[in-house]
Amino acid sequence: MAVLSNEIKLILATHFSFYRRHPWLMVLFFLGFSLGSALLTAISGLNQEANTRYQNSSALINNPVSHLIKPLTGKYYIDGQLWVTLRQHGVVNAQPVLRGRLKTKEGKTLAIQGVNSLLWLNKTQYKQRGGNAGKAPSSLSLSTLLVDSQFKERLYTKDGAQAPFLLPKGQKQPDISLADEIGLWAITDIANADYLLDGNGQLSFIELSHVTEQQLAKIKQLITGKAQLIDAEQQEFDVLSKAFFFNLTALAMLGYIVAAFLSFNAIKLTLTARNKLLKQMQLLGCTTLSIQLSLAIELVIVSLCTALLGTFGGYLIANGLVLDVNRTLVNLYQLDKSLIIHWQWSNVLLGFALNTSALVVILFSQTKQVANKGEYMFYGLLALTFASLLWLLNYATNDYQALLLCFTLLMLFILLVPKALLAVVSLPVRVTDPLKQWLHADTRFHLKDLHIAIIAILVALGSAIGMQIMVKSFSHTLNAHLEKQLSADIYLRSNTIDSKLRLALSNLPEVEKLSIYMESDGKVSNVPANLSSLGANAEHYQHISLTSGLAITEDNFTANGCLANEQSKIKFGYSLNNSVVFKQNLNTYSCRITGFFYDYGNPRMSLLTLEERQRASALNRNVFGYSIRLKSNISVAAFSERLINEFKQDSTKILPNKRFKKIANELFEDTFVVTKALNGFILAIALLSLCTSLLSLSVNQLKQLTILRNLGVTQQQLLTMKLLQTAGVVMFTALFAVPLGFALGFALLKFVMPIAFGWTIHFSLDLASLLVTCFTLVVVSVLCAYLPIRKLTNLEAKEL
Amino acid sequence: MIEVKDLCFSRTDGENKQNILNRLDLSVPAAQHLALLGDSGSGKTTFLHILAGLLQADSGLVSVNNQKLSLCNENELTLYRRKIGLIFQHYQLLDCLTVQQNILFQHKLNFPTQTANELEHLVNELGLENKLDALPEQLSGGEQQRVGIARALLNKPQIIFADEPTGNLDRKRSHQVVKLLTGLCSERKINLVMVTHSNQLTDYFDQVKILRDGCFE
Repeated sequence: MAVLSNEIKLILATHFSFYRRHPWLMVLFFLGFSLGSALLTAISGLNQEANTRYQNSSALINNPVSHLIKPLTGKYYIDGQLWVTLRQHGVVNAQPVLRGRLKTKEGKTLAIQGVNSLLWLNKTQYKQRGGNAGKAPSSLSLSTLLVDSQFKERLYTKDGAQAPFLLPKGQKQPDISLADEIGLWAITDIANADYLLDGNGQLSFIELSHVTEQQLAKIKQLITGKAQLIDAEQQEFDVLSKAFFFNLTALAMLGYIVAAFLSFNAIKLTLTARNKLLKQMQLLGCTTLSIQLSLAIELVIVSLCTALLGTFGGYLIANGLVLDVNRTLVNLYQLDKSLIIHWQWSNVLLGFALNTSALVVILFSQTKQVANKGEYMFYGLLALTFASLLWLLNYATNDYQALLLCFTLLMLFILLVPKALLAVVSLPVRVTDPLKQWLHADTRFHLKDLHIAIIAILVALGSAIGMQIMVKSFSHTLNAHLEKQLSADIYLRSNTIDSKLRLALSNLPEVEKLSIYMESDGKVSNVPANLSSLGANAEHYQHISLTSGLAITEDNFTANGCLANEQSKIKFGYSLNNSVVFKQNLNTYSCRITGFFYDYGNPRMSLLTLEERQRASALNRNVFGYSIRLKSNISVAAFSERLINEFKQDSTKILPNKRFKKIANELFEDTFVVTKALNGFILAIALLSLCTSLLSLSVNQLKQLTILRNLGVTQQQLLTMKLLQTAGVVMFTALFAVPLGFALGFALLKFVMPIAFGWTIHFSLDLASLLVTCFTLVVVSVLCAYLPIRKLTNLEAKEL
Repeated sequence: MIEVKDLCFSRTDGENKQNILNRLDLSVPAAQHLALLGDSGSGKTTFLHILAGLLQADSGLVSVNNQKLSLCNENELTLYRRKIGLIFQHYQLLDCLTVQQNILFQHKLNFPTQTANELEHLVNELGLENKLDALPEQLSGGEQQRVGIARALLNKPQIIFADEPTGNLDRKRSHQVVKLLTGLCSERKINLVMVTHSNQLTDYFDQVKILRDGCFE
């Protein structure tokens, strides 16, 4: 044993010397290993945080929040007296929270949250982080507004002065204190929040912790008709943002594959580079066992170090992206929860597991048994993939089966493309130029060494194309949808319907049609839903597109008829003539579905009914204003002027159609910001993979190229040939990536989208931007390949 | 001491079987030096590799210092290789280690707790005292071969196998290296088996064998 450990120490010391002599190789190896973990951490960090978000982002009190008392649906606040009542009845583990927004004179907003500051400052979580992770607040008092340092620029002018807030009653400006890790909601004492927001003792919600069953029964009794009790784990957040995080999960799957290939490649690079060294050690009497053990020890240590390094990188990336995620959640889903990505040791473990698995796979693939049965394994895997694909195409019904379909598509291409490429380069080519002959033969001979890079590029480019098709199709469909849905010329925002103004506007000769928009929030069978109305008859619903292609008529509303969005049918399983019961607090509204309409981007179930029926129900409702369609010869600008001057309407409340569409489009664009960023990251990793593959290849090719140099081939000729070879291989890979991208795009649109989001989107292709993506990748690949190839071809003849 | 009896070795290329070594017999007493000559492809390197435990014979007996190599498994052959001295035509120095680290490598494998007292004396004798911190790539061919010799000798072997150690050196350097190697082996009473294609170097050896088409002449 002592002999073995001495031998291992000697071998490890030799490996260490090897890394010292080849620092760039070490950097590349570490980078390759770390990036895989970083990608994993970034994505899983975002996903995991979604699961634990509430405890981490709120954390007003030491104890985990188990329930929330929220305003009744359709209301924004609860009476502060309710909290007093709860305490009077012995519910002391309840903390009131008031939320709102402050605006600076420059129009910049700051979301603030009033809490019990004494409890908040004593909470363990903040104390722990404040000590070693971030900047703690410099000064605190009851009037202090504790703001996250990331919002500094928003609150201070260029000369360093504090930008004053526009306060409703000219209250005294708050003292701002900056600190790290506060999050999106600035914190202040609840009394100060009430003062600043002019809250009149109202509350946004009350957090409850450690409540017993008896207390819950008591609370329910006390709040009946005044507020609603919600389990913290069963908020609408989960239901509504599920699709968004599913999108990230789909991306994570691609990330896992590319990251695994990168780790695999990194190990291959370091082993290839040390091939000669390993053989020499064996020649000098080192046993195979000790060589393998020392390699395993080295790789396990490196795996752990790079997992740590990668997790840190991923933590930074995830925090860089989290603002976009938050913006999407707040804007698209109207959710006031924010995410903060924390350091998670589980991600280090995940990265370590990824690296170790790659290590095990590479060692396993080196065994003679696997090498001998390679062909059988290939055909077995191909048959299994093909069978799974056929089954999923016919029977995929849930989110994860839809994702599995994408995965099998990827697997199919991963298995077939290297074989197809080999067939392409094995085609007989009639060339007389000896250099071209060599280039052709060399490509065929060394293609196997580039397999990993080819697969990484294939997966990354294929998924990028698939994603591009999905985004483009979504954007096209959305534009067409908005074009029809937002067909009014002017939108006039208002919180109430003024019947006199409505009548006056309707009677104007310039106005062709005036509709309203009124909405009630609630639930249908525990699914978040809304019930809306646009006017008194079917005429006001003509801009809505039914999935049947028919126009909306009065028949749709007869016999208690209503319309439901496409999501109700696909995602929530309703059919024509089904009765739905819309529930809000203790009130209900029933109707019969007579048609389904397209409703892109809405994660909820949505119902459309006539105005009178909604008014007749006892539901709380929000009025959003009027939509005005003008006659064809009327100028929008002139009519807006008239609304301001003659009807005394606030100019900020008048939105021309174009601006409204722009806002809607921006909102949806936000959804894909994170997707695009992570996709770009995956592509970058694939390129790095190409770089490392070429470097590992160079070790095998050195002798060949030196012979060519000795035979009179110039460095420039060698460089050009190798670059041409790389460009050719990448170009062919890109050619295979296009059908993969199409297949993935098809799977995303036909399976993932309807199953996960509940809406159907038509396949739309932007060939020009697709070609640009492929061309860019080929050019960037050649640029990435330049350095390793230059290093390889920069040979002097005497070096033989 | 080396004993070889009825040694056969063949290679198979597809369906063609090629006999490389045919029923060889050889005996080299302890501390004697043997030069193995032959044309290219005569099988001399293959024979040396079998003696050094790098290849296994098809049949016959190979015994080195009373260890029967033909009965050894892969692990036993590795441990055997660790105890002998090996000198190669292409030096086989570990590129990432310095000259001193290279010389000490095999010694450390065999004697992990012992100090290499002979190192200073040996490097002085081989003229490497100023090159200890250099990397192999910074040395000339002759210097690299001397590093290989130092590594083999510091290992305190009873036998050294040298595979054309002068193959990359000029005539003058070849004589210097062989003279030095045989001299050092004589001092230490080490068996030396050297493969060479040069007749002019045979004067330094006690025994000379010529291989032709897999048989001794």
